[in-house]
Amino acid sequence: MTISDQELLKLQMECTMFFENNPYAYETAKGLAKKLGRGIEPLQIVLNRLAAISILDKRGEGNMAIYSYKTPYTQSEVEIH
Amino acid sequence: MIEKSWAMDVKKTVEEIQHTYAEFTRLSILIVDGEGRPLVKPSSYHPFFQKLTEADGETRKRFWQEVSHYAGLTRPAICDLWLPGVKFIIAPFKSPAGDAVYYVVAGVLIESGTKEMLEEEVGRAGLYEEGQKLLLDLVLEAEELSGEEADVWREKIGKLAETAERILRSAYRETYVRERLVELRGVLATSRRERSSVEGAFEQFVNVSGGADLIGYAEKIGQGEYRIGRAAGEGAEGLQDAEFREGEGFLGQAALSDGPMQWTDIQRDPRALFLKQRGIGDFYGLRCFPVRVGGEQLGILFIIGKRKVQIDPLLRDFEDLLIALVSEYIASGAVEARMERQIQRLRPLMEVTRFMISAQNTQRIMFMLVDMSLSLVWNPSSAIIVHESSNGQKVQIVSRGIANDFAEQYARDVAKRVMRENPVHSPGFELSQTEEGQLMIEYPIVYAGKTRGVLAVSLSSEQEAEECREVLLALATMGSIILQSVHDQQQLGLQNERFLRLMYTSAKLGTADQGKNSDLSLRLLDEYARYGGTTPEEAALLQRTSMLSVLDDAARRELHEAFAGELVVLKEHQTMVDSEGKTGNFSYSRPAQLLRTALYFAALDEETAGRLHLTGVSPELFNHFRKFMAVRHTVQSEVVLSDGAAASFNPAEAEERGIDAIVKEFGLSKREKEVLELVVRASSNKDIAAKLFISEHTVKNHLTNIFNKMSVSDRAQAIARVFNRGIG
Repeated sequence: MTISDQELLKLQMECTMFFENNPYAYETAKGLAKKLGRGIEPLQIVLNRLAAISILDKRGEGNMAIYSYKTPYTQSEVEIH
Repeated sequence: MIEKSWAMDVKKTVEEIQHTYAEFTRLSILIVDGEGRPLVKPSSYHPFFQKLTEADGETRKRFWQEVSHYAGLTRPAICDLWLPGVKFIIAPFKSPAGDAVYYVVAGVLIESGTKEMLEEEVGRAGLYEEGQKLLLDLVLEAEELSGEEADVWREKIGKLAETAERILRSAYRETYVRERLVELRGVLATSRRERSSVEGAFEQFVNVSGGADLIGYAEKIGQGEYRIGRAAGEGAEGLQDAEFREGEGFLGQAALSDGPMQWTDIQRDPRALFLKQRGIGDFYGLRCFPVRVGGEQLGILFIIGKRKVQIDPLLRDFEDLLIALVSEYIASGAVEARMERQIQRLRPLMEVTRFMISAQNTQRIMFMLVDMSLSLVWNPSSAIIVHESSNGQKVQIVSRGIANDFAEQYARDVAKRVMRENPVHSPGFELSQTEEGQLMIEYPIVYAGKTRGVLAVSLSSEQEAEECREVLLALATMGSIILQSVHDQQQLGLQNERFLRLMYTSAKLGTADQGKNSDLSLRLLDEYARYGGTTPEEAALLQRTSMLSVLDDAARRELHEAFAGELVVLKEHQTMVDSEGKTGNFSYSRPAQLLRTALYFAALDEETAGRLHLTGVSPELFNHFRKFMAVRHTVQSEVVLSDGAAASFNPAEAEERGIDAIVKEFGLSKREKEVLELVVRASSNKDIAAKLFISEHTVKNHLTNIFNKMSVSDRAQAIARVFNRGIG
């Protein structure tokens, strides 16, 4: 893993935490870059990665794509037989 | 090669020994290489060899042809050269590199009583002029020997050959082998530098090795699967990215072995087909070295020799040792890279920990554990966390990437297998396979003395499990610790709350009016939460604060540590009460505003809400609460009239029922229903526009349509109609 990969992973964690803390946020990469004070290019990579692993929802493509948190499947009352 | 590296002093030594033997045996001696070239100056007891070396090329060539008739000799022998009866001792010995045969040639021996006859024979032999002259001189100068004497000299010359072989080999090792070892050591240095990427070392090795034409490394890429990633030498391009399975061909067999393996003379062996088909062609031998860490096979280093080559055993041993060391470097490089990847994944975990600690909410921590575990594995596909519910009888699950029904089925299985049957785990992990064949790595979430959950992540292979297990263990352990902290906080909170209720009950006995108001405020806050005005957590905090408001200062001081947050809100509330009616810029927290409003309404006669605002309380919040109070009052009256079941009445449910009835009765569209829901929850046009992502103008249009359909003139009437339908 190169250093930039490590940076990406760190950014991925940061983005995940941002969306977990703001589950109703709808952000473009540009908007999020401004909020987090990060470069747009690595952010684009990370956001697409998070969308690929279903942590984020992605609507639209390119610069206009809007990302939002995809709440995981939750079930609170599962009977154990 | 021997000429190049043979040191002068070694030549001198051999020459001296050769001279001694010549003096002793009274024979001329010549030591030649496999091509007939003299290695040292001949010892000429007779001038024969001296003359031979000075003779023209033709004569030397013919003499060598005579000697080479005996090329197959393995022991010293007395041989006839040129003429029967003209005898030389020819003693073969191995060249220093072991790849050719050298000779000691000694002569001339003439049997007793044959000299005269030989002189005549030379004349009749019909040799060319110079050869005949040389041979005649040789015969004339030679001493006649008996058969026994000749045999003794044969043995002596044999000893000379052995001695020469030892000295030359020793010199060879001292010089040539040392040079090669230095070159090979360069390979080692490159390997050490490059670690897991050893292309440079491979190239170097092929260049300096005695018997290797190609060297390559096949890396294990999955269960029983290997891929050739790096290779150097003749035909290396064809092997790039070639894949094979355990047991397939020679390489596949080597993959099943713990130690080095070697095959030779395998040109026709069908197991060589895999390599042949990839452009290697026929080859003579293959050596394989496993690259292992502990018991785990990481790959195979292999060397292909295309031809049979005789190389010095010392060099061969050194090469094997070197390759074993290169294997170690590759293994340690791979371990280092694996560690580095894990460390790089551990670092961001520290950041995550800080956030998780601040979460203090079991479900949010579960979300984080699932999301983070997906970020930490190499090939993420799914993750699930199963956690016992608050009563311990059921489980709650949070999952991603797994079908919902499968998630529930898996949760039941893992709950029984890990949490019920084995409730006390030490931190660690287990690998399991689902019925669908999915490999899962499972980490027990252990806190408060038992296993209370399981974090499970799906993996693509056992190798991936190997690489991710430590970092996931760190995440699961961290999750356990944080859940333990949440659990402790909750337990402490419960105890504190019980204690607070006890104090509250005692305190209100002495202040009947205040106690009554406070009881009402508790009920109002509870109902307001169900109405949707606050979250349950907010309501709980406000209720605790409300109870604290009944206590005197001394009691509050006692409880300061347990209810620090609540006391801050209470203090704010007091400031708000004190500043009521005053003008200025006031800014208070939402809980303080809520408490002020709830206590205000609780203190009023329930049917009259005198003020239209409270100092420091936002108009939206105040109006929302007022609306709630109005609805609550209407509902309670209606319920009392109908069946007296006020206690079981839920305003939120009434609202939902009412909206459904209105939608059905007046044919509201889906969007109009959404707008009406927000109107009922006291949202302004601006709020509605923001929540539904539409303009305020569009909201107004929707409202006009809704009012027309419902035949009402404003939102107050619309709200009243909703609740009337809801309780009807």
